[in-house]
Amino acid sequence: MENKFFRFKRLKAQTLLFAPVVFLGVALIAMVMLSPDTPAVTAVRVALSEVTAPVVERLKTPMRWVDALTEKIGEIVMVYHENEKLRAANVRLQAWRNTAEQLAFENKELKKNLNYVPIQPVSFVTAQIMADAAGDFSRSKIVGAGYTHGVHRGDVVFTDKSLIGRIIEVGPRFSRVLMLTDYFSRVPVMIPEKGIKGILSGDNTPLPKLIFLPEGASVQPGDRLVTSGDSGVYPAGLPIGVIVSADAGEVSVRLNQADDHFEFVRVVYYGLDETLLRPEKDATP
Amino acid sequence: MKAINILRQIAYEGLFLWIGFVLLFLAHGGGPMTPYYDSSVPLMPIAAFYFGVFRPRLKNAFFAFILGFLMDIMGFYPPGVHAFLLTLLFFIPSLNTRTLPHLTFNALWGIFAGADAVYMLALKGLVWGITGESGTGTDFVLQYGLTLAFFPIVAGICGVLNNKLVREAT
Repeated sequence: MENKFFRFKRLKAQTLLFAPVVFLGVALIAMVMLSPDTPAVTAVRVALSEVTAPVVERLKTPMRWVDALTEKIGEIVMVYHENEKLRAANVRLQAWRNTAEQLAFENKELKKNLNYVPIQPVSFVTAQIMADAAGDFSRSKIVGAGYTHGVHRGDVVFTDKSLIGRIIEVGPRFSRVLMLTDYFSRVPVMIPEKGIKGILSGDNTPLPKLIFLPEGASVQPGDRLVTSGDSGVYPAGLPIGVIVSADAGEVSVRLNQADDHFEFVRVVYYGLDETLLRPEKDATP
Repeated sequence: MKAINILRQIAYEGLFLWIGFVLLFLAHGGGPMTPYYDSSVPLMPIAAFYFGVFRPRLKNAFFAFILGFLMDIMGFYPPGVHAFLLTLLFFIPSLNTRTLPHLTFNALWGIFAGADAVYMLALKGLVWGITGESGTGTDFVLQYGLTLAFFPIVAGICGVLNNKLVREAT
């Protein structure tokens, strides 16, 4: 009887030691065999988002109240300084308005002459941000619209201010937006005034970098960036941001939508070639 | 009464899993917890370390592995990275059950500080090795500091729930 007891204890201790080693081995194999974009992994992530997003939405209500309160207090403090700045900006903008009107007219005339056909949005959906998924290596958000609402993989996402990213995963009711600041975000852009093209590369900081500039390209703070349309994922000419620093070969860009303070986004389908956006089978039916 | 006992048993057996789900939600669903800091704070290592010290059971090792996988999937990490490191962070303290549970809280905090530094360096190293991407230094220091700062809160909650359920179950 005693022998049996000790044998059981020894077996239990061995299992306790052995099993975690097996788990570690499985994890190592997964590291080698799988990647975050593997279809099975993506499908699990979409399914998990479908389950967790509604819960997150409910639980975020009190957080929103606190956010709104702190924002209101901040706004009251800032309003005086803002007012002074706005008066000064207004004077400058009046001058710019004249120039813009002139350029708009000139642009219209040129398009007419060149038979230019701009890419028009086919459809759009306005949706609410359900959850942030900001981590060490990712900047993405979950929006409350999926393929049942007409969202497609690759759709371009805007706030009221500017472009913020594109849809990378689509579930029935929720989708995931890859933000321009994400490590894996690469957007072909250009400086329209200078005709310089490059790639806007996210690095998980609020200031993504401009890379792959042509040899000897002269860029400086204040230069405006728009999408170049080269990849076929984003239509050309969407304003993205402004260069804020160009030191030692590193060019940082401040996005037009530089903060995370937005609740609603516009998910726009431009009808671009989806084969570019669908390298592998995803969760979209 | 019987139903309550069953619920209590489920809570007792799966405590690490339930706490893990909450921490997973905080890290990957609820958005950043700290104002003015864009990234979430990795709190799961605290729970894995706590349960490695105070509940070194086979099922908890399995939970650490599963929660690690969920962290990888939800956080766009290469699958297996967190599963590997969390299991390790659980497994190594679980081998020292004769000493670690009897240490003072501050001593445990100190040991966790060392373990977490190794954990985070290994995480950066593995992700860098697999994807070629490395996080920023500021992120690393901030996350490490914030994780240590959150240790008393998370470990305290784990401790209170653990002690309560142990008392009720015995």
